[in-house]
Amino acid sequence: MKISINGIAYEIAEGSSIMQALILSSPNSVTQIELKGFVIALNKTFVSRSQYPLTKLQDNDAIELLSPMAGG
Amino acid sequence: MPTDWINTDTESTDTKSTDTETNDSLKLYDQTFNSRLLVGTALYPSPDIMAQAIKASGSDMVTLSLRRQDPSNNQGQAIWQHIQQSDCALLPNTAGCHSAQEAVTLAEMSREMFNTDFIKLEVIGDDYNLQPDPFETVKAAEILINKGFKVLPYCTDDLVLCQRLLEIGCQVLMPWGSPIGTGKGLMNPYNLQAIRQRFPTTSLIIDAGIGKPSQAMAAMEMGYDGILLNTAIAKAHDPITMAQAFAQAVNGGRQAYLAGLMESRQTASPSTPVLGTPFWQQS
Repeated sequence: MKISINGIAYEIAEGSSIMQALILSSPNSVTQIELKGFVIALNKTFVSRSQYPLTKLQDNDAIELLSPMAGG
Repeated sequence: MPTDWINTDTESTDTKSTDTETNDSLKLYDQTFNSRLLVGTALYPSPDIMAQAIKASGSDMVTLSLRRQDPSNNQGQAIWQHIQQSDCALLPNTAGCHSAQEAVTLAEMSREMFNTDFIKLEVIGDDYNLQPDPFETVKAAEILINKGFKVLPYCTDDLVLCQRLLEIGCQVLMPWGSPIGTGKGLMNPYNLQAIRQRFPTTSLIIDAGIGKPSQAMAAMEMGYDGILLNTAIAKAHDPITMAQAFAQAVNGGRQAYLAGLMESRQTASPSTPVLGTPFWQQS
């Protein structure tokens, strides 16, 4: 099935979780420390870190992966 | 002078709020801050200058945001490290959101990322002048208040909008001085004065449009509780010195307000005693 992370399309196996999508999109394995460096929304709905392994993705799901940035 | 505007609470449970509160601290919900100047972290020439400017401003609270990760640009990470080292309280924003739903989602993401209930609520209704959408702002604020957020809504200087935001539970209001990044100062002093007079016990912060220290001082003399700005410091030729200038202006304006400004008059009135005026002859 197809999903997107920050607008970039990925192919991923049916029934994959958010955590599996993060591993797929990351060149290295995702560590607990790295997990604290970003937050996620799935289809414009917030998903807490504890739910990444438990949240199953559907075809055409859109993940927003955000990190701290300057702001006014 | 209405002394009930002055916040005197010294209790605080937040480890990042100031630990030496004075009896004239800025109160934002249940927390108090020594500085009445809140600064943004964007647009600086470098992360290092940003860090020095924040320190020079004396601010206890800085704004920041969440954005998509860009692997080709590490500046976001450097800025985040400097902000963490500053030990300032964090005020994440919902900049760029155009609906209540987007703002609520971004606020929830910010709470997990930054571990704070504070949120600067921004829901933009017009991209040309970045004017907040009053309807979506109220809708988002109500949802966020019910979710336990401490909402600081960026709003226009509309009295009724401010009233609605207070009714749904906002304890702080942040009306604009003028549109974001314009530096035009206080566009509608009459409206801002009316908001101050009608809500004497609410913490009011001027957010956006301040371009000069004198404009910040004018707002503080009017009785506003604080100033939030970014561009005027970050885009100065010397952001560090400008940060100091704004800190002095905010403090000066606050002191002037507390001291009580004289009332302006239409006619001249001599300050030197008239009694004993030399060269006076009865005609």
